[in-house]
Amino acid sequence: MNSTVPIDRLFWAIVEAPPRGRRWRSAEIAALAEELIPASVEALHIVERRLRDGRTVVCAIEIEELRSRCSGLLELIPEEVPDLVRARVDEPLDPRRFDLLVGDFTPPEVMRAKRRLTVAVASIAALLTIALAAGFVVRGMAARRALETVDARRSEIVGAVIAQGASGTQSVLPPELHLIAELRELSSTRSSTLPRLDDPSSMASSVFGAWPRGVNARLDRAKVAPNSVSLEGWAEDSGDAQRIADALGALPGVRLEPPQVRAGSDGVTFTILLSPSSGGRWEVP
Amino acid sequence: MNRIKAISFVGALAIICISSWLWCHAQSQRLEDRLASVREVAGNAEQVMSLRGREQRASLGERPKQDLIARVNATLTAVGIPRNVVSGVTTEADGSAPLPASRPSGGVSLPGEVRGQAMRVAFKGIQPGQLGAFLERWRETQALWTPTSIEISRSSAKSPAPEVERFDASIVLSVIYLSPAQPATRG
Repeated sequence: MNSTVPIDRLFWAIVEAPPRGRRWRSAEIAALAEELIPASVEALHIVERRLRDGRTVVCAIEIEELRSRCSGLLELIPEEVPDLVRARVDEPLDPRRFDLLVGDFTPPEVMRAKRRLTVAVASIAALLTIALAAGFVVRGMAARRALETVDARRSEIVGAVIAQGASGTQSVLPPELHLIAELRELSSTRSSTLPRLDDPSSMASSVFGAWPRGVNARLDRAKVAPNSVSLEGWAEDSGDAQRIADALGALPGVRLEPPQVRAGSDGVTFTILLSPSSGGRWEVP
Repeated sequence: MNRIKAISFVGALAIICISSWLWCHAQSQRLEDRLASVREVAGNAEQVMSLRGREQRASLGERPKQDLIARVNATLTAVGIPRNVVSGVTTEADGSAPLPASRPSGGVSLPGEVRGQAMRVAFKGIQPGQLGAFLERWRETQALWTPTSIEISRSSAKSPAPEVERFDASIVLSVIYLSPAQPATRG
């Protein structure tokens, strides 16, 4: 089903490479070939093959000649590439590259085979695309389902935290904003960087707890501050007042100032001053 | 014509492929964003839980007098002391609470100026044991208000039971609060 055409029935031409590396279009090749081939281009069937160097080898046959030869063939190639052409190109030229049964002269069997191939390739491409798209859609839907789970989990977390700290009043804020507002408030009001106020009540407790038993005395006035304790009172004699001062001065972290004792008509009055021995704040026992 | 058909066919497949990928990508991105948001919410929740367990050191804004009166009354009730021992609650000058030297460290931003507020609660004819119980209960339940000064003096009021010692007491209760930062004024 293959046949050859004698070279004397063919026209050959070499067209130079187009400028800026582009390819010639078929119409341009035909127009250029018209200048080189001594025949009307409308009456020719042209086959062109591009060479590695960018030039194009044109092989043409008269349409009538081709019609008379192509019947029942699957391939119609030149008998050989003429020496004139071979001598001007730098690569081997196989006559099979110049199959003339192309374009309008493509054999119906080849056309059908090409069509079947095209349909097969298109079907495979369509199936692959559908499979790929289905994969993306399945993945996207899984992400959407996960989104619902994540949202539910988030609401659960926020709800649990808010419910745990609920003070009885209903917040007007949406739960997440409520959480952020609470976080801001807590961060501000419970920050470890905030200063601490000194609480002297532990010191007061220690002082009153250390008051000695068995002394005949009474406490009239006391002031406990973060950096001092002053006690005023009455005692039967200065010995009792001194015992009180000694007992209080024995407290850890306390510096006892010399007690002031004043004689009265029915005993003595005393003033005892205590201060932190470290000079700063009380070391709470 | 065949080339146009082929290009159209390939284009259609490409559009199907690209649009489904874009949709999938958008969903994945939304999921990623939402996961990041959940992580943030979980972090916030954890912080809130941790901070709730900490002692409150400051109030947001100045505390009203009624707040302190309510707390004092609640504490008196809790330890079984009649409320009429309270003879008055007076406001000390705002900002006069004794702020210690340990001020906020540098680099920590607080939403306002740290100030002190102090109120004096006066008790008349209270027994030493009652005062001790009050202070103990106060320290357990009212971490915000700190007693910063305690003064007692023998009560001059006549006691129904002369053998029971009674004192007049005055406790300064102080609180640290964060005052909203004042906008700079033009001089």
